[in-house]
Amino acid sequence: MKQHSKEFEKEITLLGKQQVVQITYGDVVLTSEDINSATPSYEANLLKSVMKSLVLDSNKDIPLRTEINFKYGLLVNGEYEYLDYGTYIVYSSERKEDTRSYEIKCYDKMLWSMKDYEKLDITYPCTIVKFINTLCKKLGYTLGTTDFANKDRQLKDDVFDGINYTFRDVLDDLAEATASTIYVKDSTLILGQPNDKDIVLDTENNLTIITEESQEISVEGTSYGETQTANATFEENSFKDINVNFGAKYGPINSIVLSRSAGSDNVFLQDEDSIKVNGLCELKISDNQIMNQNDRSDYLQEILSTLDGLTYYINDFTSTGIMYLDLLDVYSVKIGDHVYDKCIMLNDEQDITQGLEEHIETNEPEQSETDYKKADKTDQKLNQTTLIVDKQAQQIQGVINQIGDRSDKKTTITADIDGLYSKVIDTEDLTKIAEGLTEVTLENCYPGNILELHIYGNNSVFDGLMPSDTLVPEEGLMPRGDSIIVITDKEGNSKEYNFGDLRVLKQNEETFDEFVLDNNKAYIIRRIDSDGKTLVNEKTEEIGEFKIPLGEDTNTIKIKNYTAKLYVKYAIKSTYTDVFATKVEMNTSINQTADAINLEVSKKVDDNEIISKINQSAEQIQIDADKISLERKRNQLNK
Amino acid sequence: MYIDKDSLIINGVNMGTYLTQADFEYNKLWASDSGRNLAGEQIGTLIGIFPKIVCSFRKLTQEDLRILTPILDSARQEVTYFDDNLQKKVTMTTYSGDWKAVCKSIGKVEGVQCSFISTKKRGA
Repeated sequence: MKQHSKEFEKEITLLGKQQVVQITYGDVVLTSEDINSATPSYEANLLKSVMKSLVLDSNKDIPLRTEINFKYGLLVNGEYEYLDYGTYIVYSSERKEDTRSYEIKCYDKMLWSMKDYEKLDITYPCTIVKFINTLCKKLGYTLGTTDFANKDRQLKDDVFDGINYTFRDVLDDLAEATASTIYVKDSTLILGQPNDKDIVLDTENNLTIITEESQEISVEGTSYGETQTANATFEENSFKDINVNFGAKYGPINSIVLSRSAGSDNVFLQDEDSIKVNGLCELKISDNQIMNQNDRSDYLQEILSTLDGLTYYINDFTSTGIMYLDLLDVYSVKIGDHVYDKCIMLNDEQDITQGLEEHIETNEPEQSETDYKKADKTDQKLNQTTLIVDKQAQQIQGVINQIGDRSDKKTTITADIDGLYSKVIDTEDLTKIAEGLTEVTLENCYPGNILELHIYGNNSVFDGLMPSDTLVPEEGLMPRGDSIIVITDKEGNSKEYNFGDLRVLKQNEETFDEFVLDNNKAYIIRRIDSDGKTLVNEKTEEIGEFKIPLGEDTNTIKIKNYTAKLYVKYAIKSTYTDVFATKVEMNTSINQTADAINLEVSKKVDDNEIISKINQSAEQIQIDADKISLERKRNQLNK
Repeated sequence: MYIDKDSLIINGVNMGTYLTQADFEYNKLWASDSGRNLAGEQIGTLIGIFPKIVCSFRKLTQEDLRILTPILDSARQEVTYFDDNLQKKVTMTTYSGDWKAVCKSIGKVEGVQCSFISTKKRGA
């Protein structure tokens, strides 16, 4: 809100108001004698940057790129009281011979952002607030807002380089990521929110803003020593008797949707309680370069927190002139019995000629309808379907990924200027892991040797006995000091496997010795010395070759005479195990360019790889395979 | 108001000896936004007060017309008058209306009347 007195508020509504305008630059002062008309205006949207404009019809020309200050004056109690509109830059000037005057177009300092984006002098990753600060320095602004949504979120790389953005486009993306409306006040960049705070000005011209939590924030400023309530209420005497339209209430916003190009691939966050009470009202943010990677759902929480519950009336009216409301000010309107208690200044055009007319309009954001069945709350999940448009690399990549318990299937389609590439990968892991204490059950076993066995030290497993010379053990007493494990199959048949005379496996807090059987070779990794201290470098003690076969279906494995943690990896039965492999990887790829189609199918079974290829161009087809099977009624080959 | 014989000077010529009547009009000029607001109240921007002086002349001789017609025919005039609101003598730039002379006898005209209207709104 522009600073003004209570008398100003009253005088502007009365019959017979008298007004002037004033433009100053350097030593030059242009008044109403020189200015035939002035039209300050702006068009704003939530989550966008805003540039204010000023169009003058002037009897005197003003040089291009001049920084001018514009004021509107109203005769109050015999003296003119001025509203300060701030600084504008003269952008163009056109001589109109019919009226012998100049039409001069001016814009506020957001004009400085209307140039091609250049890489900033900044090291990535960096926070968004640091990025904005650096951008401000580049453009000649000062950042005026220190607290905003997602300010500490990291930008991993410069996502704006090489995509033909202007700095203004960058500010638009930042406005979305920070859930704000970005504008410039003189040289200060502000990330603004709808403002309905009370503003109190004391007699010493200091500004105090009283927040909703009744906190007082003191700001230096000049004033008329009056209280100015941002949430002002206007009645019929502020409106003309034509063109006064109030629509439905928009909001409350309770769902934020992020979508990639063409409105696809949506992630969302909702206020479920608000939706139950008020119905769904979503705000969709599309094709934002900052929120385009797979961490974009991380931005949703703070955006929703900022916008959740935002409500305002759609309106379009012509007033007799209010003038002191500014961008994002919240105001109320009372006409008869109707109260429109939340209106936000988003679009304003003031026509200052001999008379005064102000046109205020607030529209709802562009409507969107998301099919939430096809959307998700995050990209970070096991089954992914994503479509990423990389403008910098000029590439579109679609990925469909499904991760199962023992399988990983992935199809990738990549399109760039040269061609279309697709790849299908289907990986099945045919092993399973079982862990337990002393004894584990292995299910669905494929008959074969154990693939891996780990026994973890605990200062007692495989510990030996040191009996005294006179000790006579009774019959049936089993001596310790063995290293036996027992395998029992589904029929209940047991077999013991003795790894020989091993020293105890020790443990020291989180470090432990480890018995390992891997690929039929057994060894011990010693990490603790005989005194129980952790070794600087671990040592390996080879034991020898051991094969421990498992029967089909269920087996149990048990350490016979000790207690310790076990880890077992073994082969399981599946449709692929008839080829006696533990990992089968099937890859297919199709590469299509303007000149040729290349097909490749490869099948890797452990270390054996079978590949067939077909390369087709306009001139020939080349087939490279171990076997070719042609099935038709007659095969006739040309000589 | 015509407060003394020297209180209406146009282009340096004292009108005192030629006038039979001077009408001082203080006309308000309203902007095009004048009308009614939603409450039915009259609203509008006052552009300003544009003083207008309508001068009615006595029977004029040829010699009188020799002095007055350059003033009456000029596009702009400098008029000094006593303003009733400001309570002081004010000089304003004016433009003038049409005029005619009615001749009922040889060597004299009568019924000459001319308006002088300020080009700018009255200042403070």
